[in-house]
Amino acid sequence: MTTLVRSRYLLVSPHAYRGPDGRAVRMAYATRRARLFTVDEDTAAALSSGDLARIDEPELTRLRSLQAVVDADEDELAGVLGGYRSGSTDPGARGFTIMPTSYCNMACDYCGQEHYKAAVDERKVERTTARVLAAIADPGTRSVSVTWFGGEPLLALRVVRQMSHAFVAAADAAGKPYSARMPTNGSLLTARTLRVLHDECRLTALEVTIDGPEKLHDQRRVKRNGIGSFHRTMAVLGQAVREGAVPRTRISIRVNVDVGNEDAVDDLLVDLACCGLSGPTVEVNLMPVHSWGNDVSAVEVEARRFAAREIDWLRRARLLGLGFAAPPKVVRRTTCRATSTYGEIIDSAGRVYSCSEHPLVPGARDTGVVATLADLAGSAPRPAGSYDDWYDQVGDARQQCGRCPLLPVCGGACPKLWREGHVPCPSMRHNWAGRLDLEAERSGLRPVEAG
Amino acid sequence: MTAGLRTPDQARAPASQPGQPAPLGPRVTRPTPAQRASVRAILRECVGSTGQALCLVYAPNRRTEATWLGAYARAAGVATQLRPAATATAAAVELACDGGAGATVLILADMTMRVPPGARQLAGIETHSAVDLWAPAGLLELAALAAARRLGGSPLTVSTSGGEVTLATGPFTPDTPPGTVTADVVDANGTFVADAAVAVNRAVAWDARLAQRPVTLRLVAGTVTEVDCPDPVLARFLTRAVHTHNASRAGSVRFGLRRLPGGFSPVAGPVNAARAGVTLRLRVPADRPYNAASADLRVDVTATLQEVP
Repeated sequence: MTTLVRSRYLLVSPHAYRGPDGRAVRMAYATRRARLFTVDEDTAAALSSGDLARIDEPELTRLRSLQAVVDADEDELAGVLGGYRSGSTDPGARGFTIMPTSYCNMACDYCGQEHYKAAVDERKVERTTARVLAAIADPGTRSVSVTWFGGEPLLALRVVRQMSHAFVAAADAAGKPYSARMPTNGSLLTARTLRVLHDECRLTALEVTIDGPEKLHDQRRVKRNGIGSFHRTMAVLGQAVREGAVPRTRISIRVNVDVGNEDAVDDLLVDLACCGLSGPTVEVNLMPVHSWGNDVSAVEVEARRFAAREIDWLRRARLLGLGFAAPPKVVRRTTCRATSTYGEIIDSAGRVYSCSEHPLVPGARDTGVVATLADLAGSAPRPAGSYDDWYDQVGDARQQCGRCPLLPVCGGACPKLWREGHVPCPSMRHNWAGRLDLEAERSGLRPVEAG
Repeated sequence: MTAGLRTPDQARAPASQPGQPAPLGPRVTRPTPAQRASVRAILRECVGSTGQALCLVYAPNRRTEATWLGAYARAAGVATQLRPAATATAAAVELACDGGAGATVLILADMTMRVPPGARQLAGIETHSAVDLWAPAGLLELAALAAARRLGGSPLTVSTSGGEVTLATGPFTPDTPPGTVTADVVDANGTFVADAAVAVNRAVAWDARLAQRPVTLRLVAGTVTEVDCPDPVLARFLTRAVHTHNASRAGSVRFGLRRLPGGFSPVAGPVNAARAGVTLRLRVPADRPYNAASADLRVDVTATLQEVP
């Protein structure tokens, strides 16, 4: 007879809520299935005590299907890592991060990249294009995703358009899904550029960094010409969102938070609301400033403090009508580009990296190169990089992620930072209970204390 | 076409207690006699004899009323399409309206939203549906014209609980939603205490009611100089909207004329606008926008009114 136990990858909220029918429930998050659901108080108590015999058969069957309870003899970590290994070695999902320029028109203090100007090398552009086209043409490829990265990728919009035309046409001809995303400082956005990115470059996600209200943003996100970018960026985005000009592009407003701007986040949230940056296609993404190998210890917000404040910020964001990401609803297939040889980063000089935090970063830009485009034949995967053994490290407990209930939806966040002695855990590791509270509120449940 | 509308449930409905809706399924209830009368009147007024098809767009919480209207319209021979919105948000309802051209579009949703040209919104509140609150447009228009005449022009002194403001206004005219009159404000001085509701032309998701957290505005020469509110989130929003985004100008004043059952709704929508109350609309002066994206920001704060004009 099978003995069932609570999954090590199940989180149950410490708080009770009441639904419209008056029943008291608790939120639960089964990360192996990336599913949020509710359980009644008795079930929550049984899960907490481990006495699963108190749970009736239909509920037990449901919990089993969610992998919230599992066979006692199942090695869950092995199962999760097996999923990651299989996702990471899947040749069907190809991912490219392309840096069309090595320059940025901003010089932010906390950025770890060192930018330089270089003329566009058409031969390198052709080689990069050929590399992605070969992957699209490969019969083993099911889908291709491209991230336009920098430096500031919009400084090379012409190159982005040129390559995108080729990728989109090839993917369409091959009948394979193609998606693209772009992190940008936003300073070069115009209504026309947004439409080009949406219509021609088939951008599905745009991540724009806004670090605070006008004064603070323009101080922190310093353009090299000294001109602030806050007003222009907000105006373009606000207009586009309200006119529904780019309906298939999700816009993420990234806020890099450190001790210098944490007290201004609330004001920024109001500014975003006043400028109309709310709606189903916009999300606010609050991120603590982290090390790129540079020392940010003087400015970074301590992880637990950030996590606690984040819950308050998100609750206010919700009241202001601003969107933010729910706990992941999809199990990760691989941690990042660095953990799959079917993912690679190509810089503007044609060097291939496994990790997006290597190019342009002093030291790593030389040591992190795994190949050059000239070395790689056709669509062959890149050579292994420094982090392709990540899951072995997690499996044999050299890294602590194996003990974390968020592993199936996080993957360890950033192998590079772990190796360098940092702790790159997402804030949810510390504030998951608060995130479940927010999801309960979002779905209309009320805290039991409130009646 | 709607003359002699038949009631589809007349023949087969089991007898229900007068005034008590009888269950019709897991979520839809049968209409009361008063609701039946309203449904027929709504269809007569909105569809009339246009011969057009009817497109009923509805928020998830208005499924019952959409079902009633759809059933009565079909019984009257009107080609009817029911379109549910995915969620009870303005964005989702607006999305569900797409492609309704060529038909009479009726939208059953409680919140303020962008109503497509030619479409009509029927709004309710948590405790009363649009069908319960409906009144003929002609009657509302007459009431609004009479109120506009009585209000005349400026100056106007408005007393609110804990404040008084003197307004110099232009002439009052009937406005939308039906059952309201509005005038431009030329000058405003004093203190306005909004204890009824707040509405912003942005997708905010807070409770619109102000009874437990009144907003106090001090006005000098038509401009808000001070904002106060015990709710920290609302206080920060209003302070920044007024002092940073310059939504500080008292642009217009609106009287809601309708005595309606229930109180002000947590959802900012047409019912709050039309319910007996006086609203100051704050806007950004055309010559002082902070940012192009917030230049159209408008904040409506409403005080309860014991006597409608």
